[in-house]
Amino acid sequence: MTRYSLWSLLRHARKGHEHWPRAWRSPVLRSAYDIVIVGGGGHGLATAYYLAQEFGAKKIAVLEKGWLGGGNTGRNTTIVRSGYLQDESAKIYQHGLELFETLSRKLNFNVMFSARGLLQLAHSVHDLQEQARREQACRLNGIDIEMISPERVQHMLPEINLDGRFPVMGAAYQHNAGNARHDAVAWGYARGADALGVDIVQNCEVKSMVVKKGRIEALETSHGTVKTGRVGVAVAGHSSVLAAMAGFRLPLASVPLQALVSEPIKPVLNHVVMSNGVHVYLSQSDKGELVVGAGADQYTSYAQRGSFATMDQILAPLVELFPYIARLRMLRQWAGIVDITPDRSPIISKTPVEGLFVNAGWGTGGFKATAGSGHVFASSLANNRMHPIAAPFSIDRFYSGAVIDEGSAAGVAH
Amino acid sequence: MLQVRCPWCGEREETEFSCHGEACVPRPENPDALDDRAWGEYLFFKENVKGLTWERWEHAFGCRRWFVALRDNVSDTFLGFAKPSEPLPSVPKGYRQARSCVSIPLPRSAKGWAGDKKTVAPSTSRTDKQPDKKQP
Ligand SMILES: Cc1cc2nc3c(=O)[nH]c(=O)nc-3n(C[C@H](O)[C@H](O)[C@H](O)COP(=O)(O)OP(=O)(O)OC[C@H]3O[C@@H](n4cnc5c(N)ncnc54)[C@H](O)[C@@H]3O)c2cc1C
Ligand SMILES: [Zn+2]
Repeated sequence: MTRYSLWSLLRHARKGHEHWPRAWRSPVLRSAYDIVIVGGGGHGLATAYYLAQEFGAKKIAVLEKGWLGGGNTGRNTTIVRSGYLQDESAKIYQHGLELFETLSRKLNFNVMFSARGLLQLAHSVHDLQEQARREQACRLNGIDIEMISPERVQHMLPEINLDGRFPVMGAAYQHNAGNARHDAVAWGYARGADALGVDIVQNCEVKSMVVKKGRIEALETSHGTVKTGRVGVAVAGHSSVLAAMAGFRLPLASVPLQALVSEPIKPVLNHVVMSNGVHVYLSQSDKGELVVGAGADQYTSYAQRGSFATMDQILAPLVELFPYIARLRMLRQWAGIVDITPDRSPIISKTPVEGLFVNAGWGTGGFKATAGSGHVFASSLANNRMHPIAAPFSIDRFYSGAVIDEGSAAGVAH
Repeated sequence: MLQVRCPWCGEREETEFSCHGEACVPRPENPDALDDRAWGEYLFFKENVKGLTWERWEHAFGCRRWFVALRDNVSDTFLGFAKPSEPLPSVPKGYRQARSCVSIPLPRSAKGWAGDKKTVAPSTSRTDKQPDKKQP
């Protein structure tokens, strides 16, 4: 791996940038591996990277049916924050946020993490009370969130309309939250993992699983059979499809979640703005586009489209809050299929099949956890024992009742 | 915008309806006898199938009546609608051949809908494992 630096940049500039080496190999799938990760999104790639880098695992493969980051990783609105209500959530999301802060240096790849501060708007007394409760819970967990007045909101967001149909009565502000570049996170982990010997195989779909006496033995893929005794599944919206291959079900619903971007404009928005009340979240990309996230559709679907009705529903309040947006053209709209659990918390767990682990249920808000999730999942896979941060997110909670309820904290969690 | 056909009111826009998830999940006949595992299975664990799915819909901003829809959730195409008193919508002939990638699992129990013996599930062959068949 060539290290990226000012010197390498200058050296390649002299040669017209024509001889940059590939960032990762395109290896042929071998017939056996110690550990196979299914899904080349951020979570799968981060898992492979930490397995090789920190937990000393050898012979690792990542199998991706499409291209790296082509799932939800490359479709999300890139909000990174950690202000969740429950203690278990605070631990895992804060772990993720802290890893993000030093990720560019660690991977020698600019993931463009920008802690520009995040405001969660309150539109009613109920919103204010709910946010104050979450603020206090966060502080007890060492996460720095403060409640701010409408005047401060106006000062930070000069273009906002405080007194419209959705009046702004205050906001919860997390100053160290922000955005990162989604593709760069996937590519950075891919490059790092590849340099450590991980085989990343694209266009390779897992089609079925060979389970004998309750143990995973092999995967049948579009590139042939791979023998392995340990598999980590990180396929987001397709988790139930993979679970069905192994003969069990998961507490998940796969639904479309959509986003859209405007034409690029000059800087108008310095922070990330979210409103749970109207299900809208907004930030401005480095290219100048406004990136707008919508709510999830009401029915399950594997069509990566998203309903027009859902988009309609969020654009109306958005232009109430920021009237100038009414004059912008929207350039692109897309959806990803997100896997939603009943308690809106992820599943990081062993399964009824020995040797088969799942990392799923991140739903509408797992990008922020890419690093943290990959790290604790890698530890669990390497040691065949769930990492303490991951342990509460076991599938068993849906039998025992020890659910981690983030559903009431935010109807949508990004 | 999807067009949904209410069996009573006819075709209307998606926003008039609410979708209530998988149809035909059998209600436990003797709840007192269920252990935590069986409760968990009943409440939370879904087929979440990619392909054809029988769902309960409600004409929430209309006649407010419930019905079953058969939908291909890969293309979001509706393939049939039925009132509670009617048999479940069946898979159109040739549909499976036309879309070989689509899996067609049977609903877990045809009884779960109307409790009516006549409400038999469409005859598609499902050879793979069906763990809940024996559930009360
Ligand atoms: C519109 C939208 C906005 C969002 N906004 C935010 C946000 O602001 N902040 C936030 O934190 N989160 C957000 N999320 C959620 C976030 O994107 C996801 O939780 C996260 O990216 C999941 O990453 P992943 O690696 O688990 O899944 P993915 O990136 O989806 O990767 C899974 C991969 O598995 C592959 N795969 C599937 N089946 C197979 C198979 N059989 N064989 C091989 N490979 C297979 C897929 O091709 C895919 O590439 C948003 C999501 C969407 C859709
Ligand atoms: Zn009706």
